[in-house]
Amino acid sequence: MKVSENEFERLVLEQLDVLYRVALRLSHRPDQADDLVQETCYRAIRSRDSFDLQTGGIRPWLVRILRNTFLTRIERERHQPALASDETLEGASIAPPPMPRGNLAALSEHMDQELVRALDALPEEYRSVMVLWALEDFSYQEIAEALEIPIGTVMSRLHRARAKLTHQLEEYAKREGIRRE
Amino acid sequence: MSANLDNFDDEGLKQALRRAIPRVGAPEGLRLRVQAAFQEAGAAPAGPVGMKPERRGAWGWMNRQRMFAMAASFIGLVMGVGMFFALNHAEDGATVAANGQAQLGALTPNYLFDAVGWHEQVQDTPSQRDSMLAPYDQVWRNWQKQADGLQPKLDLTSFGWQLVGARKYGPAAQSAIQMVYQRNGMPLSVFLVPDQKATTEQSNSGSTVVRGHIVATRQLGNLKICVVGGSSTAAPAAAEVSRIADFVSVPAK
Repeated sequence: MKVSENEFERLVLEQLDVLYRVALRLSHRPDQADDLVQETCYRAIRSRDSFDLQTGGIRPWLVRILRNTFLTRIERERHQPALASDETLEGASIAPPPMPRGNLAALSEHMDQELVRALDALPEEYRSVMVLWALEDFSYQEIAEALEIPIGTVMSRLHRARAKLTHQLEEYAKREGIRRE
Repeated sequence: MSANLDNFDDEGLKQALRRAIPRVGAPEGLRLRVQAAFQEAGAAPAGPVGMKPERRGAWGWMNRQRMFAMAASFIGLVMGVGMFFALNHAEDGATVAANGQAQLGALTPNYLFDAVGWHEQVQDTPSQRDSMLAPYDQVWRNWQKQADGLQPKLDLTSFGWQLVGARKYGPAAQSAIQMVYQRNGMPLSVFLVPDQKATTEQSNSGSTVVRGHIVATRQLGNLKICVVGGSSTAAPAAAEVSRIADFVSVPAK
């Protein structure tokens, strides 16, 4: 089913928050996320003739454009000599903060930070599946459409992503003496 | 498939991730820019520029992609021949042509490379950026007679770009100015170049990539306008650079 221009605009604007959050988890930087979403919307506007509401809604379609835009940029950057950004350098030099002792709230916050770190460290194909499923409540079908992979692959990637996260957190817990070997 | 696959719907993990990662929304500036893009797009139906509206519906997406690919191949061929000509005839164009860039509109490859070089100065040395630039008003006041009464639209806040400053810019013996804008720490340059030989009121000269930077040029009366974006993934996309060039090249009322 084709949608009118106004309806198309409304549908895209409704998904702007979702797109920004996904872009943020892909790029790790607000300025890059901002620019990624902007380019995604330009591309969506240019391609709106190809959008059909019946083929799974606009959310997977937009995320597909966003991810392809991101991967294209990564590929393009790979072919360019690049200076490490200030944030990259800062990130590289800062070790995880020491584990707080005796304060449950602080401990919980620390675990949260470790979880985010573990998620961001996942390879892109696992991170995308995990972000869409856990943070944005995409169904397997929607994830499959957004990432252009079969549902079985969505399920196995989700399983592996979960296993990787669990392993990372277990390692962290052992390191910090929360859990014994 | 592993037996543990039954367990992939781990609500605990889902909740932990949601607690750990704040549910942020898109910045307001981004929302405004996207809305503006829709408004602009509303004036023209989606599809390749230049195609009659009644034909757009008849062309499928794939056909349009093929048309673009063919047009790009043809343009590439023409540019290749042009570069060969420039390599053999231009007095100082050899270096540029050897780097694989062609002339864009009325601006020579040499000029485009100079402009990108000037842009890179402010991009690569953000800590010294302020010392390189002067207040826009001061630079414009001293320079505006070159614009022959034309006032390009230089307020790019609707795109989220804040004007940082300006400076005189004079490569290739042309007296021009460079306006420098900033968004999220990334610079964008708009060069205004007088061209007394210009014959058209306004023209679209397209965009290209020079040393990884998106460059778009336009003509406004006797002014050439050249917009240079950054070269990192945080830099504005080609579409945005072109839109800014379009925006600047419409005279302010």
